[in-house]
Amino acid sequence: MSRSGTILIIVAGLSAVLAAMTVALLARVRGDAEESRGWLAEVQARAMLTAGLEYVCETARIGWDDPATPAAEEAFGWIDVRDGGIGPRTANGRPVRARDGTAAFDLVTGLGDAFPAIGRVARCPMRVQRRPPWAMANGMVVNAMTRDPSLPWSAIIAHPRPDPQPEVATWAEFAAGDPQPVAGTDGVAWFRVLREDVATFVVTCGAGATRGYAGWNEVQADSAEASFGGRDAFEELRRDESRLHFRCAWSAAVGGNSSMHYLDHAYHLNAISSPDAAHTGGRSVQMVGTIRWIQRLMAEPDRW
Amino acid sequence: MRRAHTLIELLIALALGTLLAAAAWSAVRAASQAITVVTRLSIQNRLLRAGAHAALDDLDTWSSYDDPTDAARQPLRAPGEPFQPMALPDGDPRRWDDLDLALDADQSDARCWYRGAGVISNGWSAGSGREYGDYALHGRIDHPDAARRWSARMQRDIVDRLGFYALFELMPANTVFSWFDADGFVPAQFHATDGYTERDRLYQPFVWSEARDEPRELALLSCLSAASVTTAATFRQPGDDPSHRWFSNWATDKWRLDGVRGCVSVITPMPLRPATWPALAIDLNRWAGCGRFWAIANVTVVDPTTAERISLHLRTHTTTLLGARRQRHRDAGWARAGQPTLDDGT
Repeated sequence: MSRSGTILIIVAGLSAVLAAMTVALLARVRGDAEESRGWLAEVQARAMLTAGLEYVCETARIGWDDPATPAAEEAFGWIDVRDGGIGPRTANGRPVRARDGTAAFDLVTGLGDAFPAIGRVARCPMRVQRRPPWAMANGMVVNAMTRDPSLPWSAIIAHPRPDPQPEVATWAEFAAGDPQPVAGTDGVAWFRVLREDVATFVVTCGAGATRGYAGWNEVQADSAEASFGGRDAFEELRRDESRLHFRCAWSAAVGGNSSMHYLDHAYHLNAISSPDAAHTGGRSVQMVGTIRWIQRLMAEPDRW
Repeated sequence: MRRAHTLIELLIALALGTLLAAAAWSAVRAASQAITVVTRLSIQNRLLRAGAHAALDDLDTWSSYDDPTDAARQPLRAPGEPFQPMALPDGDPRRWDDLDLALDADQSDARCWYRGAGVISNGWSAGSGREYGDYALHGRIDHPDAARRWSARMQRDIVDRLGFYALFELMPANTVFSWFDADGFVPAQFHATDGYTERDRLYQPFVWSEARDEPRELALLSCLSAASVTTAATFRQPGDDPSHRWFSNWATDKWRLDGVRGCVSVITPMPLRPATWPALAIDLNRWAGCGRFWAIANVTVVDPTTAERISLHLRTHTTTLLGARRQRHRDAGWARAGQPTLDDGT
């Protein structure tokens, strides 16, 4: 009887030790997983900073096409490079149109009811599309040379299959893409851009499921209550997400295009009257301006 | 009364009991070792995450270069260094109050127009005259038209006050780095020299010859060369003046281009950790070179018991030098919204 009791105690003790170690291990693994989730959110939010800065640069020039006109409207910068006025304005000098089709801002004050007016916000929830517009296929297209000497050279070295190839067969599909989100990528990250001044912006980057709404009042103004299942659920999502705030300034100046005006192929001094067109052309690297400076905001700004 | 065990029974029982005890001990020991390994890996991972957070925080704030809360850790606020305050009182010789020197010139502004800066050099082709005309008439450092002297004065004064790295960041991205001095010639710092990394030589020879002194944008001016922001003691020896010096692919001493990797700002977390714990090291590196700006952080965890080394290399969009200057209060500490910063007064 006493022997059986001893064995029971030993077995129970060993089991307790193993159980304690297991619980400790699980607790640590859980802690690691939570910390990793926080780290992942930070990385995700920083990826959104890149997206936000690109958005600032690109919307200085493009993305303002007015579907009511046959032209593909382009703009000339947040500070218009033609006269220093408030942009973005189209070739005819008028403000670009906001998403609702109205003129986006007043030419003198820059104020208006919607982005890109000064003081207004562009909210950009992000997702990975199944196939973005104009998607090209991965992989190289082989154009094997024909081994038939009777053919003319134009046939032997012809490349009948262009490389790269579009991802889809028809032009309509190619242009439209497939905007459906890849599973698991919707409601994960967002950024929003507040135009604080003519060329100064607050870019807020988020990793979470609020889709970039700053508060419930914005959700209501957008009639998007159903997306969150109520205010409490939205507030919980807000508490759980990571947000980073940056201020940045845009400039129309672009580097990398000018030096070659001074040089010829031998790198001797060259008169600007005979610029090295070949090199200069090849160095026209981008046309959407430059982010002049970036400032991480130490605290949440009053408006973002 | 129960029958006593025979000797054989006892031996078998002892053997089986020993086996069972050994098996149980092995199981506990294996579990314990597994947990030890997992715990150690977990510590490594936590250190790596903590290090990455600290590195990103420092990239965002430049605190290891200039700690606004500790005047003893502000080595880059001296004259000629990138954190020199510009908001200085009247009468201070470092005060930058020339009305021509506003930083934010838009590209339609005449100050930003092309002026043929340095188009005829008097360096390599010294004395060869002005066969393409006198471009100094178009713009020079003392030109009576403010728009025609702006770029020259900005370049000269930013280099003088804040150094090379600041020059490349603060000037418009399309700036051609050169100017005409009051005598109508390109100043000496753009001339070809024998020393690739001479102090105050903004000019960097290009690959094929040091006898090339064409004016250039950052992309070509920094070809295989770099200008850094650094607090590293190696590059702060007497006479070094690293804020006014290039690292160059053609130098043979510590100013060789790969030396820029040593221009790190080091964070040493957990200085009191036990010697057996994994060690965490963070270094940050900022430089303008090879045609672009670099903000790099390396986070390394080394296990002293196994010598295992895990490194995380981070590059990200983050606070620029001008942004960092705007984060700092003119007098001390961090600037809140609306408070004066290091740049107010320019």
